[in-house]
Amino acid sequence: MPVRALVWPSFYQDSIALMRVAEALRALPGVREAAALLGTPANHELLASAGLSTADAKGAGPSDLILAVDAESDAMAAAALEAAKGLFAARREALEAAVRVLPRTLDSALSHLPDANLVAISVPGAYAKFEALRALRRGLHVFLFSDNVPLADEVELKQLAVRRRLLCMGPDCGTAYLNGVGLGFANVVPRGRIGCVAASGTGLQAVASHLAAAGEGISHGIGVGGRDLSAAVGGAMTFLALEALAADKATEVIVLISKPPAGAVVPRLEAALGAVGKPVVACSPGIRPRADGRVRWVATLEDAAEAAVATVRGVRWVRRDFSDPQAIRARLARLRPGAGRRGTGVLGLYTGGTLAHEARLLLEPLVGPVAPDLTILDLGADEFTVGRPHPMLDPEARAQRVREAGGSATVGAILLDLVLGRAAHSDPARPLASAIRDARAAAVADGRSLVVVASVVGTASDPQGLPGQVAALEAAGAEVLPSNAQAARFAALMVRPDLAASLLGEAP
Amino acid sequence: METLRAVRLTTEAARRLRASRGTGRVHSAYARTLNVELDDLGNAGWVSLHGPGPIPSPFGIACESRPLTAGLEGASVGVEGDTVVLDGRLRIVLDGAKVRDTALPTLACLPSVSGCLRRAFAAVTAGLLPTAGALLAGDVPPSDPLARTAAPALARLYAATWARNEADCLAAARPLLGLGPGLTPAGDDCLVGWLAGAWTAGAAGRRLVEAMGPDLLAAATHLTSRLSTAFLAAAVNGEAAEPLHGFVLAPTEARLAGLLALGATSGADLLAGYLLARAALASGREEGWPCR
Repeated sequence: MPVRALVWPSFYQDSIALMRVAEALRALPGVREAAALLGTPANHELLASAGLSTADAKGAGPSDLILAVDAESDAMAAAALEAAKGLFAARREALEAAVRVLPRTLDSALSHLPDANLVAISVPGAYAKFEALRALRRGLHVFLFSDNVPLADEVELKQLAVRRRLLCMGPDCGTAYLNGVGLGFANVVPRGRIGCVAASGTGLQAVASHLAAAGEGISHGIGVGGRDLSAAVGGAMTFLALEALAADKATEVIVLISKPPAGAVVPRLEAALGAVGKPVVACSPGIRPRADGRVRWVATLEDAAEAAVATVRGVRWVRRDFSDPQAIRARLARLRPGAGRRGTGVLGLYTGGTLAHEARLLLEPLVGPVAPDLTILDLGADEFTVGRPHPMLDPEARAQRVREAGGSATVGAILLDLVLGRAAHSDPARPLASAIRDARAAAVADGRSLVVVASVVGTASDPQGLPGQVAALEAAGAEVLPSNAQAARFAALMVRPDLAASLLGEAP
Repeated sequence: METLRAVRLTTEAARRLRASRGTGRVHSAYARTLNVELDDLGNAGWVSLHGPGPIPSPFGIACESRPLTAGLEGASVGVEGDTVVLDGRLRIVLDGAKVRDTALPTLACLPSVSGCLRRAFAAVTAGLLPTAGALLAGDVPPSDPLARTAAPALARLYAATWARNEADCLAAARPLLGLGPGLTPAGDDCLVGWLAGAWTAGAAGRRLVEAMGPDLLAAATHLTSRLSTAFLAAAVNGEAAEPLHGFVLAPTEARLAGLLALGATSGADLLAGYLLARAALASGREEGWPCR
């Protein structure tokens, strides 16, 4: 068992950095275990009990860092330690580069980049207002990534922004596309002729990715924050963003993706959409799908993208529950015979809040009465991310939940999203695929049938690569559907085969 | 020279700066924190600089933005009135910063041990919390190497705390010193939490801390890093990081979340030790674990 270790004398890195380096090494080919520990007597014993002790490391003291690797071959262990050196060196270079070029204040930043007209802010929510006010008062647009910003602060910021005709995107704005530049969690998508106004993150990512798949692109994608259409904020940024896109020559069709608007805001919103002067496709939970002059209201993110593509191309759009019903029938036939006992519950484990909300809205009327244990969790919500990174950055916590679900006799279908793009995990399908295999194997060992249904938000140009991520999930036995809405409907079919009549137009 | 304004600092950081003779050096510098060692004050000579937000050390200073730290290791430090100057490159202005008292009370309300564990288990899978939590809940602890090493020590620490036996507490604490991952190893964080739990549990707990504190610090000098020893020394004197202090005063769900967000697993390890001490000292002398 080749074990190698390196000792860095008096080497201090914060705990999160040490944890991430150890995690990165464990993910390398052939590495069975890796540890980054201070050389205290207790940790020497710990390394010995884990089979990671080496003669080289025995002399390390309590202030020295030991990096120990157990790999399938000596060469792999050596390569891992070299990789660790590279990771630490990269952190050091990043810090030193920060000293050289990163300013500490907004004024200092503007002195380095006097032509900048937008500020991205991601300080803790309690401090966000002050930084955003500074930016707005200097005539700069704001991309406010910070969450936990008090509602009163948001109202104040947006009132100032409206007076100054500036965008204040957020708070909790996960994604935006401006002039071809993606901000926050953003997929690599082409520029094009469809403009978006979106509440926050994954909804915009999903629509942008669907548009890219259809060969269309985004002119601008403006995030407005999930509370913008609340009664308190009154849609301040939504209306300003609509105005901006209406005046933008590159934008031919506008897509609005919103959270449920407050009742008092709906009439003003409908009036504003009607006055835009360009075709609008609007997707807002709780507002009935319909065509209203040049405004078409739709129910899902996929519908929004497809309707926008049809509109911009001047062709008729026909809504479909499944893009390829024949393929769905074939999948149903494959999954039916010899399937064994299957639970009636659907468990959704989501990383995207908008996607989770959409799945819940679709599934509740479909399976609610038969599957009282329908559970849709947004694992990116605050209550699940305390003490750990967001699941789009660290997929392990969700993978563990998938494994655990494999042991549940009531769960018949697990529903998943996978969100790719810049700033997301470099290979999120890998840990998820491993967990899917484990969960399905546990179900089979228990004489049950468990179906894992997934959809992937992303493009072939994303750093992770859409085709490879889809292939990894399918190789693990997941049923990958082209959209979140189709995945939700397919999950419903897994526990309610009788729905085939209405969803696919056939007898059950 | 760049200037950065401090927005808040702990009473302990203010006291240390006043007590210093005005010189020191940067001990360590990493992305989020810069640790300064003031001359001639021993374990009471550490001060740490951070960005805005909750102050993660009992001797911390929160600045208006995160201090950029690269290349500052070993740099000279000067304290001149309300200003700290690092290597002639960075000036921290303390004037106008709010002072936050993070001294622990000698008696604080007992949190719901099982409730805290239930919520923490949903969020934390690493460090010592899963092991300590399993012991407190009467469950089987995990079986990884860290848990296998820590579980007997934690069980013994609980029993010794329950028995109010400082010699046994010290013997149980020794294997935890320097144990586990992290710049402040998980075992040390757990002991800091245990000290805070004992400190805030009334007279019996205070007696334990006072009786074993000096010997624990003497052992820490050999068994763990100097930075960890400084955290333990602050805990022996009843000083806590802001997230732990806030949770001790009011163990609400929001403050539990703030505590768990501290470091990689430091907050969870602090919680593990704190709950272990509070449960042991609240349980009277009946047999068995308190929150089965």
